[in-house]
Amino acid sequence: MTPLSLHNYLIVGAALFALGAIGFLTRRNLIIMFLCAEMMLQGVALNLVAFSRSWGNMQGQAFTLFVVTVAACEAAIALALFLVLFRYRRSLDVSLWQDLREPDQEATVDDESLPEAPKEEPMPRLTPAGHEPKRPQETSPV
Amino acid sequence: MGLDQPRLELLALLLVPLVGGIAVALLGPKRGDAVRWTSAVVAFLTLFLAIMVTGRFMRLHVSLAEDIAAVRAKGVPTFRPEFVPGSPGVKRDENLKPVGEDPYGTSWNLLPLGRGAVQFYIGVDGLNVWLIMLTAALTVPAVLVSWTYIHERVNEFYAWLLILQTAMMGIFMSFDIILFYVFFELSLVPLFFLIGIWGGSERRHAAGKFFIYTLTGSLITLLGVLGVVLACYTKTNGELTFSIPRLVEIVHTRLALPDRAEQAYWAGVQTWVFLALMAGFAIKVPLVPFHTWLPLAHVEAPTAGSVDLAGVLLKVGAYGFLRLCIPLAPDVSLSLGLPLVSSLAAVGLVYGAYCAYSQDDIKRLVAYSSVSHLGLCMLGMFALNVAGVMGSLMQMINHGLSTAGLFLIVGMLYERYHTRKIADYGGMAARLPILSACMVFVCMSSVGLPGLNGFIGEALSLMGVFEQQYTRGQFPIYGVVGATGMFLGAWYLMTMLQRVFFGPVKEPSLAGHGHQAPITDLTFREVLTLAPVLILCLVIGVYPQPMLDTARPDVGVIDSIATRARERDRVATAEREAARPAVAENDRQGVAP
Amino acid sequence: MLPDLWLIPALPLAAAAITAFLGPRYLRQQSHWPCIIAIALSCVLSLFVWNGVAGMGEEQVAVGQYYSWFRAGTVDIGFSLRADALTAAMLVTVTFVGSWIAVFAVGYMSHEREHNAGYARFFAAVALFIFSMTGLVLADNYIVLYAFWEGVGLCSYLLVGFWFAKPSAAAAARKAFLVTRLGDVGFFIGIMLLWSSFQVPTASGGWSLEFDGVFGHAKQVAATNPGLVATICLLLLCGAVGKSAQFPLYVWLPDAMEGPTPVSALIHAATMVTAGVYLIARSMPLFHLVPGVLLTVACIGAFTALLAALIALTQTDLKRVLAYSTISQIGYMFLALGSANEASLVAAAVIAGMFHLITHAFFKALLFLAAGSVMHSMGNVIDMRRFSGLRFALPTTHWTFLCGALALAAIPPTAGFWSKDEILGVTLHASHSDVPGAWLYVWLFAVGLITAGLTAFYTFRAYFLTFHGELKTPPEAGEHVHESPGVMLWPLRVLAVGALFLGLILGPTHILAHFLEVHWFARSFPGLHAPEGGHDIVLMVASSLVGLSGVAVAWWMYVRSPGLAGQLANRVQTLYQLSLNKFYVDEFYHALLVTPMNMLARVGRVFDTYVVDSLVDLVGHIPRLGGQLLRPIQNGLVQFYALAMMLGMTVFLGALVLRMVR
Repeated sequence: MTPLSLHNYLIVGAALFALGAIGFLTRRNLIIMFLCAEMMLQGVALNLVAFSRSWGNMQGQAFTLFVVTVAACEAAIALALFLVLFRYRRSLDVSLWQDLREPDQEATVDDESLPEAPKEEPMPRLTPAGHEPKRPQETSPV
Repeated sequence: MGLDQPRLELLALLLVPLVGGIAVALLGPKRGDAVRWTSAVVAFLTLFLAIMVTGRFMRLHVSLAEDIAAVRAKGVPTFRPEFVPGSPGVKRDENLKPVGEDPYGTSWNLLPLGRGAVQFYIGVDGLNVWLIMLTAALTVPAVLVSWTYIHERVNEFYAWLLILQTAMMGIFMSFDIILFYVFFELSLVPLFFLIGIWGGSERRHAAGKFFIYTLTGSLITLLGVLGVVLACYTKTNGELTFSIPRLVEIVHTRLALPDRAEQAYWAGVQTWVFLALMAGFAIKVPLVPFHTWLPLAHVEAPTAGSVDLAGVLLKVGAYGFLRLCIPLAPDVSLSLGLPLVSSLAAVGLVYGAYCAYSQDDIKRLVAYSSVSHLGLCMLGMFALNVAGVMGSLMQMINHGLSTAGLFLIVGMLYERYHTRKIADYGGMAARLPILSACMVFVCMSSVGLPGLNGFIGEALSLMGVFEQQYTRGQFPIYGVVGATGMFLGAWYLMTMLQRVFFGPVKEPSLAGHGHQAPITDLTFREVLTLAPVLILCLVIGVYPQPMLDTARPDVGVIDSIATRARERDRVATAEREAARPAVAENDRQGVAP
Repeated sequence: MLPDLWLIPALPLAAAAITAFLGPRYLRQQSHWPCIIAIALSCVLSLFVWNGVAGMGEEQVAVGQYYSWFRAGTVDIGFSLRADALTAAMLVTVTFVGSWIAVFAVGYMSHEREHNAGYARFFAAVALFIFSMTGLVLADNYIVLYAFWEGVGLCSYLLVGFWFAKPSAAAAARKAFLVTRLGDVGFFIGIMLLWSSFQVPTASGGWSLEFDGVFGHAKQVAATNPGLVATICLLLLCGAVGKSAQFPLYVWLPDAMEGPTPVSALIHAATMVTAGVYLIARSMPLFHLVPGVLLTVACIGAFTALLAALIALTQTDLKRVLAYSTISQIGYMFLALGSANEASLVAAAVIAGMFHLITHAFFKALLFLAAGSVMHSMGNVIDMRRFSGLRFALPTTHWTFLCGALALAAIPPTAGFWSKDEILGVTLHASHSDVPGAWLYVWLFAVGLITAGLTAFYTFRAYFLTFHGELKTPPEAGEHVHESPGVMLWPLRVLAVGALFLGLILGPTHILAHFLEVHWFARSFPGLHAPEGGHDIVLMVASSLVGLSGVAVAWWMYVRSPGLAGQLANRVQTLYQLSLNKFYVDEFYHALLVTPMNMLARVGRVFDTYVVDSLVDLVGHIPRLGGQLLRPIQNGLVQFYALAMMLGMTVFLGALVLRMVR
């Protein structure tokens, strides 16, 4: 079996990037969009690694390490932000957040109605320190 | 080394107002009196330093006048600043190895750029010494006149005022083209705040317009600055220099080469450099039709702002022409600049006077009179001979003094009656006799009455123009227009005097301005504010020769630059004539004795 | 021995400074002392100068070079003074008349004494004026001359506008300054042209404007370029016409009577207004090279003399009559100077002009002071319709005025007779020369003779209206009309003696003629000889007959049958109205010059606000317009931005790929 050549990797990377891009542009759920963005990042990272291997030096891989790190940080911040955004509007629809437009511009309104927002569920709460958490009863002994 | 001292004084001249400004800002808005006294001390200290520097420079130039002339006669003409802080710069060869001293630089690098560096290159020469003196001299009245006029945010006001002084000093002192430009732009900021915060009712609009208008022009100037640096860089095997004297030297060395391609290259470069540099300076002067920011800014600015704006900042434009445009683009200054600038200036001279006459606001009237007077200044400068350039230099100083005086007096009037409308006043001479006497005096100085300062500048400028046009065999149209300016100036100022100060007493109503102290004639502080300006007007009018002698060698540089340009022009014309069949020969015979 | 020349202007200057700074506080009601003392000392020094000049050799001149005023490149203007016969004659006249007028002012300005500031201001300005005027006649080059020339203009402005609270005084001051300044623009251009075209070298390599150098060059330049010299002379003439109130720039002088009467006597009759005559006399080495310009000078002089005399016929304001007579008499002086169209006439013409200048200074100052004395007694009323028959109420004023009137009417043997006779003589001579256009001088002579008759008539009309007829005084004068105090009467007596006998002393004895010929003419016109002038008996008889008939007609119309004047005025109503309204020249200027200037200024303002500034604002709007177009792109949709980014990247990459493929 011949070893995979460079363009095999590149094709996979490009596919990842393209899928991610399409997903980012078409989906309106913030979390999905974020995941798509991650996918684009990974497509690029794959390219970097592939080139690194092809040229036989470490620079691409070093870059990739950074990309991964940045992606992780991003994820942390982004998800925290999403949580806050969700608290404001009870929705993750990105089109609800278009306030940064020019003052006299009309808001872009979707013709199709959105699916019903999920019913409000109580947020999970952490038990305050010093209390014993309530555990569910063990139903069956080990 | 005795010469080291003035170097530090020069540096101090720049640093004292800056430090003073920062200190004043830190004092806080509550301590009004402390702020005022500190500023006054700083202003007087700066004035003292300026007098020291000027005195030393005068002595130097008097004792060395002949040596200076001999040295300059040898090489290509270029500026030679004295009292430069830091040791002389280092000249490097192509491999950046030091090969000797560079007379046109200093060792104080600000921003090293491989083969060259933007340097902190400041100094004094005959062209800027009196402008530095003027800046220092006008800051004192600017501080004093604001004593009771400014109540809000006192510390900020004085801080901006002192920083403005730093910037103006920096413009005049800089011999590094980038440093010059930095100070040139820096001067906008303090004035923007001075107008925008402490100005009249339209202050925001005025400040914005002033800032954007002048900034737009000076951005084009930046292109010109970079253009000339790059042109010199490409033509000297990569010697990157920002030193103005060195740039002038390079340009003139290259222009002297008998090489067609080289000449064609510089002809193109000069045109663009001249136009680009002119864009910023013409707005700053201001030449008609780029003057409309001026009346607005003046009317809205607080008195101190007007004094600095009219007294010093307008000279920056004219000074830029003198320091950069003419030396760096000599041929184009002669072929394009002379007709273009002279005609704009002549138009401005008459147009400004007409506009001034019909104003109903005293400050606007004075602002338009500036347009008119600076027209004469530019007219003299572009005569491109010793008399004209000297006259233009004198006109800068004299206009600075007399217009500052006018603004000070109008400010004092405004502080009493809270209006600047001419129609609101009448017969002030009976009500405020000392103030009116000062006003008549300053008006006479502005009108160009012989024996006061205005006349010296006017006479020298006009003589320069007549000399230039007569020796070229032209009808002295610019001179005639310039002379009519003498009548027009008297026309609008006398009319204003008659309406505001003479006739039956008519006091503006003070209703709506709250409880007020009774209207009194000039206080001691105000007399102290005005007296130096008035005395200087008289002294310069009677005995200007020391000033002329001090400036003479460096005005001679401009003159020899222009003479060389005329010579090149003559040779080029002769060559063109020779190439053509001798048809036009007869025409040329008729011209020029 | 000549005294230091600079002392003569310096003393009044010091007095002016002292009075201005110390007057209001410390000198108070004694503010006149520095001024009077300084002018009197200057007068003594001037007499020494006269004496010193008279003791010098033929071609000598006393020059004092003090310091270099401004020198740069080709400009080299030194502050230098000179004294020759012309200067000495002017100096003595100015300071002598000036000191007596200053004495008179002590009495006349007594109303102002309570207002210390005003009293001091008056004498400071008078001293400043004497400083400028003496400097003017002492100047050794054109720029210094011009400097003092403007200085006297300033003093005139300050003194005409002395009572600045009166709107008419403020307006008159401005008008005087501006109209003369208009002439000065021409004067200054003339100096510049002279400087740049003659290019007389100086020691320091500049170009000189010193009189000797310029005049030495003049012949050479005139030989190659006569048009240039003519232009220069015409431009200098502009200045002279403005300052000396000649047609067409005379309109400021009648209005200038708003100033205090001593000022009218000193500045607007005796001294400053003759500066133009002095200028032309001084520049005669230039003027005599261009006979065409001299003809212009003569025509302006004759025409002004006639015009002003015609206007003076009907004026009812005593001071205005005198003002127009001043304009008219200076016209005579111009006529005299303009008659120098031939080399042999130059000396006679200048002597005649200067002679008339000197006698005129005496008798016109006298007339004005006498009018001032009348005004003082009449409570500042000067309208001749409101008082009459004052000859017994004001005896001294009456007989001194009569002396002045006789001199002005040129009745022999008063001073005016001798000088006017010389002018008419030289004009007649000029018509015999073979210069083109010389025949015109016959007509100018005729105009001069007619004007002499008119002069006698209007002078005595004023005299009869004021001092003869029934005693009538205005209510402002109070119950008891009283003669002015002695401090005002003594100057009148002194000047009256001058008006009567100065002509006899200077004229037939040829003292002045000899003085000017030897100590001015010989140096200024080397190689020329002045022929001995004699008096033409026929002409003397004719001109005295004309003068006497003028007086007789006035006596007939205003004393013998007082109703006649009114009937005559009704008979020729149009002419009467023309004269009364000063030929509508002021209105004409107003319509032709002042209104268009104001209109143009207003247009300029509107143009500036709405066209120039709007263009700037328009340019300022262009970025805003661009922003307006691009605004919809900023719609706040995250995915729209992402799409735009993608598309941009695609285009960019596509272009890159395409380039690589090629």
